[in-house]
Parts: sequence; C-alpha cells; structure tokens
Amino acid sequence: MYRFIIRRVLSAIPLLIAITLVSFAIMQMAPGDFLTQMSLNPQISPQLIEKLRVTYGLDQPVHIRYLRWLWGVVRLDFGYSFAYHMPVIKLIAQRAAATLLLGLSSTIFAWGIAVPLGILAAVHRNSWIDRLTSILAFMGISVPTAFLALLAVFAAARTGWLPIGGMHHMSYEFMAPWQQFLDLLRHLILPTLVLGIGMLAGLMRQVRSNLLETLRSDYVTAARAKGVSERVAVYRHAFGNAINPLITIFGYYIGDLLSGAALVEIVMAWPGLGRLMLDALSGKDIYLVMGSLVISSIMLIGGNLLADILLAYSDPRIRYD
Amino acid sequence: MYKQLMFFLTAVLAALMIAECSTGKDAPVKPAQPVISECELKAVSGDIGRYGGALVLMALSDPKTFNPVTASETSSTEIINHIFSGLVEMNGETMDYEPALARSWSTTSDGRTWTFTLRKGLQWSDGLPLTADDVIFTFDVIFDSRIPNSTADVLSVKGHPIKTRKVDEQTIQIVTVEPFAPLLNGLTTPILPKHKLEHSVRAGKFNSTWGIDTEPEKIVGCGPFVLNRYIPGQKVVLSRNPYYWKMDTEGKRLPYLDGLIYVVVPDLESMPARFMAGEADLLSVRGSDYAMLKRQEKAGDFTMYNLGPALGTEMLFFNMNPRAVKLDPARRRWFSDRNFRRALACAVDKKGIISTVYDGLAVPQNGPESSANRVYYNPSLPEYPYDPARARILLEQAGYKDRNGDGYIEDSSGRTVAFTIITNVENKERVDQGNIIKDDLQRLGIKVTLAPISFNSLVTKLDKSSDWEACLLGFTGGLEPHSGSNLWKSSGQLHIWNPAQSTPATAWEERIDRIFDTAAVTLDKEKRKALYYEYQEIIADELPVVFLTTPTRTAAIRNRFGNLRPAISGALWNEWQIYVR
Repeated sequence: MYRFIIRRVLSAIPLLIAITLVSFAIMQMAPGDFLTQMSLNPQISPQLIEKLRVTYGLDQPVHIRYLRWLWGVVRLDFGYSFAYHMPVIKLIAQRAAATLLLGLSSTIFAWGIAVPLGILAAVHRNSWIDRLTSILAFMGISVPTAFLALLAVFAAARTGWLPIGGMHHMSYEFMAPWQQFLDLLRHLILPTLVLGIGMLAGLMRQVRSNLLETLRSDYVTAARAKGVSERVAVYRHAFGNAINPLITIFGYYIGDLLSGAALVEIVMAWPGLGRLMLDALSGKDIYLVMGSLVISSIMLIGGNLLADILLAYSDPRIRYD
Repeated sequence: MYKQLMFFLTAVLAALMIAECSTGKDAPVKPAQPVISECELKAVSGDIGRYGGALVLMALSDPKTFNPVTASETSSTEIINHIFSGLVEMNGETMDYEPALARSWSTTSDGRTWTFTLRKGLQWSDGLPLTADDVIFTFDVIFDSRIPNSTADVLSVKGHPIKTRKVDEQTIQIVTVEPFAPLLNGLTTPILPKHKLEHSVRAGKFNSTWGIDTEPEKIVGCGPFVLNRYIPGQKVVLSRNPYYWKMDTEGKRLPYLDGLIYVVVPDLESMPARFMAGEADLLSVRGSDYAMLKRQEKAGDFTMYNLGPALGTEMLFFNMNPRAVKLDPARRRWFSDRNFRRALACAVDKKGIISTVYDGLAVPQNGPESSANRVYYNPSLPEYPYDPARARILLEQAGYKDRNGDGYIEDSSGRTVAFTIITNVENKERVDQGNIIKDDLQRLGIKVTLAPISFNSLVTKLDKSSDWEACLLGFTGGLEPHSGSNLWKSSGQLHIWNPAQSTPATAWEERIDRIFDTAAVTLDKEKRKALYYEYQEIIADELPVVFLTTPTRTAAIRNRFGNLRPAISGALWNEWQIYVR
C-alpha cells in the first residue's frame, strides 16, 4: 500500500508540470497581458507601461518566464500578483478558508441527503417517492447554479428571513463567540442550499442507479433466496458494493472544493476565491491564476488518491500491490 | 428593520471609536506636538452638523493596495482618497483648485517657480507633525526610478520632473523647466508620511509596501478618514481621523461622521436588493433599475440625485493611418473624407442609443470634452443631430450614392461602401450601441459588420498591427484637458486614427498640437479656457471621430444624512461635512 502511495505521488509530479505548462501556454496565446488594460488610458504614458512591463518581468520570453515561475514553485514560491503587489500564496490563503467552509458544508449537505434519498428511491423503485425524487433531481440538474443564487438573493431581500449575502453580519466583530457562530450558520444556509442542490441532484441519481444495478445482481438474488430479510439484503450485501463508484466521485468532489463555488460566491458576496480568480483571469494576473490552478490540481490529484485508498479499504477485492 | 439596523450600526461604530480612544490612540499629547489652537484649520461652510454615525457604501471589488503611489485602479484609489490629502484639492462643485494641506501659494512672474506654504500645525493621523520634509519625501518617491507610477508623468514637464526644494519647515518651492499650467492638477496627489515609509523606500521595497495585508495602524494618513480594518472579500471600515485639517464655521474639527464602511458586493445585480433592504446608504443607480427605485423613494426614505454626465466619452473612429499596410486604400480614402464622417455623425441616432442602451440616463456628446467639465467644456459646439436625410445629401454631395441599384451606396470608383466596426465584447452597452449604429448606417446603404472582440485583442489590433477599419470605444476622461494630449495631439500614441505622427498630417492637427503646447504653458485661466474652447471647436468641426453619448450618473442616498451636496465630482465629495441628522 505504501509503495502504491509513493508511486502515485511521484507520478503526480510530471502530471502537475504538464498541467501548468498547458495552462501557461494557453494564457499566453490569448493576446495582451496584465498591462494591456492600461494602454488605452490617456493619462498613462506608453513609457510607464514599458517600465512596468520590465518591472514585472513581462518583457522576458515565455519559456524563461515559465521556467522561472516553475523554479519558484519548487521552492514553494508561487509568484507575485501584479494587481496586488503581493505574494500569490498570501492572497489565496486569505480567502481559501471561506471557500473551503462553503465547499465542505455544501458537500456534507448534498451527500447527507443524496445517499438516503437515493437508497429510498432504489429500494422503492417506481413508487411515488422514486418519481418525486426523480422530478426534483432533474429540476436540480437543469437549473443553472448562478440563476438559483440570484433567486436566493431576491428571496432573501423580499422576505428578510435570511441575510442577502456575505459571510458575517456588519457587527460580527462585536458579537459573543456563540453569536458569531450562529451568525455564520445563518449566512451559510443560502449559499449551501444553492450550491448543494446541484450536487445533490446528480448524486442522488448516481446512488439510485448504482444500487439498482447491484440489487439486480445474482449474489443479491442468492441472498434473498437464502431467506435474508430485505433490509439485510440491501444494506449488508448490496450497499457495500454499490458505493464503490461513489467513492471515486467523492475524490472528484475534493478536487472541486476550492474551485467549484466561484459563481455562487460572486452572486452571494461570499468572501472566497471566486471573485479574486475571476478578476485575475480576466485581468491576466497570470501568476495568481497559475497559483490557484496548481493548488486546485493538487487537491484533485490528492482527492483521487484518497478515493483509491478508501476503495481498497471498502472493497477487499481491490489490491494495489 | 432598516432603522433598527442603522441604529445598531451607529451604536456599534461609536463603541468601536470609544474603544480605540481608550486603547491609546488619544494617548497623552507629547510636549513636542503643537496644540490644537495653533493649527490653522480650513473652515468650510455648511450646516453645523453633529458628530457620530456611519455611512455604508457598496464596492464591486476589493481594494488591491493601500499604497497611494502604486495604486492604479479605482477600487483602490476610492478607498485611498479618503485617507490622504494633497497640497491642493479640487472643489467638487466649482471644480477650481483650492488650498488643502498648503494654505496658500504664489508664482513668480516667469511662471516657473511656485512657492507653497503649508498650514501651521498639520498632523498625521498618528499625531506626528506633517512638515515640508514629508512633501519633499513624497516627490522623491514619485520620481524614484525604481517606483514606476503615473503621477510622475503628470508632474513632468516635457519629460523633465519638477524640482522641489524645502525652504523651511512650512514652505516648499517647486521649479518647472517652463511655465506649466496643469501643475495644480498634479499637486492633488496624496502627500506621504516620511516617518512611516522612508524605511521601505530605502530598502527598495516601496512597491509592495502598504499592501492589503498591512495592519491598519501602520497606514498613517492626512485625509478625513483612516483605515480601521479591512476584511478581504467582506468590508473596509474607515474611521474618523482626529487630526484632520478642516473645521466647520463654529471651529469644530471635521469630519462629523464616525466612519465610512465599504461592503464588498461583487455582483451588480444584487446591489439594488441590498440597498432596498437597508443594508447600504448609497447606491449608484443603473438605468435599468431607475424606474423601480424611483417608485420606492418615499417608502425607502431615500432621494435620487442626478450627478450629471460622467467624464469619459464614447466615440466611433476610423483608421486613417497611411502606415497601416493592411488597410484597404479605398477605405482610408472614405475615412479621411471629412464629409463622409459628418454624414455618419448625422446618421447615428444618439437619442435612440440613449433611450435603448442607457434607459434615458445619458446625454448626447458633441465634442471631445464631457459637459461634466464645468471649467473647460465649450457649450456652443456645432451639433450633429440625427438627420438621415441630411446624411444622405452629404453623402451624395461627396460622391457616395447607389450607382447600380443594389441598395448599397458606392464611391466614385464604384466600390461598395462597406466596413467593419470593432468594439470590446466585455462591455455590453458598447455592443448594443454598435448594433444600433450598424442598423442606422445600413439604412443609409452602408454595409457595416459589427465585430465584438475581447478587449485585449482589440488593443492589439489598434496598437500593434493597425489591422482595423472602424472602432467603437470609450476613453477615460479627466477635468484637465492637458491629460488628453496623448489622444488629441498628432504625436500621441493614442491618436489612434493616425498615431505617433512625426509631423502633423493636416493643418488642423498642427493647430491642435500648437493649442495644447500653448495651453500647457499659459497660466492665465481665461486664456487657457479660450485655447481649449478653440480646440473643441476644431475637433467638432473636423470630426476626426464621431462622438456618441456620455452616460449620466445617478445616486440614491438615504435621507437621514445632512449637508449632502451631490455634484458631478461625486455624491460624497464633501464627505467631511456630511452628518447624520
């Protein structure tokens, strides 16, 4: 097992380099750079723009810039944001916690509801509960998350029941710790719902179809024939095998924790990485984009590795050595 | 709900201020400090307000830095401008330059030497004295070759930096290589605290100093407010600077407000919702929300103020560059024909653009300066009202008519008049305008293709390859016409229709060049005004670009504030006097 993990971690290195190389190249192919935005301002002289270009190292050829950046990453220096005059890693760290919190809460919400509902739908196939969850799932899948977020904002503004956006009340700093906690929960509800509903819908369908498939398999029929109760047949015999694909999906969700919420964050003023990354991308603040990309890639690769390890524990048939 | 919230906020802010006073901000006055009575505060007229309360604003994005010299975009400068003051300031209503940190100034008869006298007893927000040394330090930073910044350009005369000299603790002398009228405009630049920044300049780390991770106490300023806290992605809290240099007519130190709070709301769509829910006191109103908000004015206890037109201008211009190898010579011939451009100006339905694109919140533009420019805007320029019949006659007189009956007009050599307008796709309003213009011109028989492309591709086309025919774009404007030199002078890089000419291509461009050069060295305000009036007349007559519209700005502000005097320069330009009634 340990040899497997070491091998996977080592093989992730060339993968990461390939990812960064391709994304760096794609960002270079689009015309213009961070300073292009300034060039149509009559109050900024072309000489100043050239000076800044030299200061930022943007006058160097692409391959030199990439290699310099990569050498920096090796020494855990993710570069410098042009817009903020600050190390990229500090900027990301400032906001990653909020994004992670929202990612975790919506993941827990989605899984917590999707798994039981999926099982229920599979066990009671073609019943009213199956039909109802199917309809809800298709609605959840087809409504775009950003639109749902806008709806939530307007609903909150209309009713005044929940905060319209943001993560803390204006006077958060002056609350007692328990008030702060409650305030955070109140602010979490809407974004968690909005983000969770899309995930939930897809997941529930996955759980349902996986379980249905295993319920139809021969060994479950055999178990039933032996006379075990339906409960045992479903939970002991079928479910354990049905969750294998879900563990793999779970790995991908981990990779998505930092980057999956951008749109919701922007609409609902959640102080995470969303707006920062969108602005960095449209403003060509290239090292900021690359920094977050590397971190997201590491999360994705790590999530997949974790999923594979979990698979080995949950399914004795799987051996990596 | 709203009242409760505001009451709560005000209480919280007051508590915050008190907490701060007791934790040492108002620590015992050191003997070296001048006492308040010796300080020459600037008295400002208006209602006598009362202290306390806060005003909540919304910002679309976070500040990127708190460094006044390296800050280059509005989300940072908007915050920074509350924290700092310059030697002079611009009056938000009259748009004249008035004394700020400098109490007075004088110029020698040759117009090259300026002497500025600081107010007595000026103090930084940490209580230390603000002296001529800080002013000298500021200009040393601006002209430091390791610190690229745009103020250095503004304060350079023909490429030569201004020279500054300390006369005594309170007096600074500035020498320019030749008389330089836009100097006062440049001297609104924030003055920096030497005692806080000298170290980082010496260490070569100034560019990254005062980034957004700086502890607020370290950012020492001389404006009406100081940074109290900044929480990334959430809010910026500014609190009263107890050492600000303005007072009311009763001698009470300003500002009245305890603070300003910027809440970060990254989505334009949810701003009106937040404003209506009472979570903010001020909203920049978009045309599409105007009617909805107007109906709620009474119920929401706010008033909508028309701030007047913005400073920027939207225009349509054509490639006349003889060095543009990729440009079809026939097209260059049409575009260089003044009658052709005039016909196009008559063919564009500006009123239609205003009502469909801006929901009525815009004004037609006739010349290069926005009517927001109180001082220099020439109100009697020739206009080109929407008149398709006149456009058709102008075109026919210039030799463009439908010669083969296909519905499109041809030039004298039989070429169908067709061209492509590029614009940047990120700006929805511009793309909408482009579509209206396309339809208007199509009706005249001109075949127009609209090509919205990304801003960066657009700049590359305009700048590097000159591979374009017509372009729809807006430019950042300023109150000082001189800052448009790069656009209007024939040698300018941004003189896009025929950029960076070594000698002016036409007689009128030569005249414009001369006007800009003369106006820059003319210190007499009336003479400058006459010169810039003439430049606007020439441009409006020669029409190198077709001017379109200037959006007007509207702000909705809660009625609970006093001394509100919204003007073109902003809804809160006199923030030091605003108080909670």
